[in-house]
Amino acid sequence: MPGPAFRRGESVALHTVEEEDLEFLRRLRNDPEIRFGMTFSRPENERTMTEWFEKHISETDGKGAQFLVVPVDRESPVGFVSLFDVRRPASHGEVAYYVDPEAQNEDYTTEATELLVGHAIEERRLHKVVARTTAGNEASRAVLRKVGFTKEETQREEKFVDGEFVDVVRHSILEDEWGGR
Amino acid sequence: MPPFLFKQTADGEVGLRPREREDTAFYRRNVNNPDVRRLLRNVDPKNSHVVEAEFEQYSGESEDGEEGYGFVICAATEEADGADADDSDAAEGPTTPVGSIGIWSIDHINGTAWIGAWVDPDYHGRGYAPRGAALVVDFAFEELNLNRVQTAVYEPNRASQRVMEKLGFEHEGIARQAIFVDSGFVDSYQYGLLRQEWNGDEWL
Repeated sequence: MPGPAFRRGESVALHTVEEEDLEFLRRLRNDPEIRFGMTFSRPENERTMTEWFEKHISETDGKGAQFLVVPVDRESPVGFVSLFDVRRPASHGEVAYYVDPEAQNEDYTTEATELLVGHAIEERRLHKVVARTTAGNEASRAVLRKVGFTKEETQREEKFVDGEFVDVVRHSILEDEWGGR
Repeated sequence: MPPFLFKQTADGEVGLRPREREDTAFYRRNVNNPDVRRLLRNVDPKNSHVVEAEFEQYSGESEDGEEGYGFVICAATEEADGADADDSDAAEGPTTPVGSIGIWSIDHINGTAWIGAWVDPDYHGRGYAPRGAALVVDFAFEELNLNRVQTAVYEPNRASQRVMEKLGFEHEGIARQAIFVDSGFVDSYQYGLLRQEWNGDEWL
């Protein structure tokens, strides 16, 4: 079960990631539906997940933050969001998000992303937040548009996914474009 | 292992006991709570691993020679034990965890240390912050033989400013825009209390 809520929205909250949640995340990270969108190609077993948990999740080094997305009326997680690659003094960082295909709900994803961007800008004083999606991932790009991201550039044939090279679109939102939610 | 009370007020209402590993769930719940962490300026999600690592760090003398102690503020609350309320040993003295207080950066040469505390929002407004702080201040002067205790409070944290003033701490200065919170820079207030100024009779 996820830890306590760290930042709350109307329909979802961001919770700390606990060791018991690794099974949920392992299921998601191996799911082709999620992997292709996220451009993950690594098979994840218990060992790789534990290593990831110890190295990246349980560190408070200021370089990022990871959360489980939990609907406010439920106890179990429906997704995961991550702020990573925080650079100083440039003060930007990248976000990524994925939601359980079984619970696929664009509103959850949008609000979870808003909560994470708000955390990054309002609490960590980032000036710019970046998000990258594959060019064909319309659902993900729709989420970014709703949150207020702007398309920044296309990285041509940047990734190899499901048998072909695909373009990656880099989006970003700046501190003064973020109205706060 | 049962936790042991370290120090308590004369009326037995509030006490301090050393923080134990078993308190991890209590700490985790509070330090991630938006209402608690905002004024502590905690911006990191802290899962059980992180909270336990901090427990190790604040248990006596750390590897880098830093001395500090973490206490759980406990209270004798009536409603606290719920179903166990009839249990004769459930409500004996201050046993319900209501907050946390720490003393760290203990410097025996200069006789100084820093303190900091939070109270579980379920128990706000009952005087546990000043009474818990009074116990730790008394520990600092009477048992550690220190001469000065200090703390920093962010400008929006009025509740903590009132606590420090009630205990007789002097508002010594302002570190301007030292803290970034809720999209803006805020001042940090420095409070200090000297041993010769300390009179905790009202709180102990």
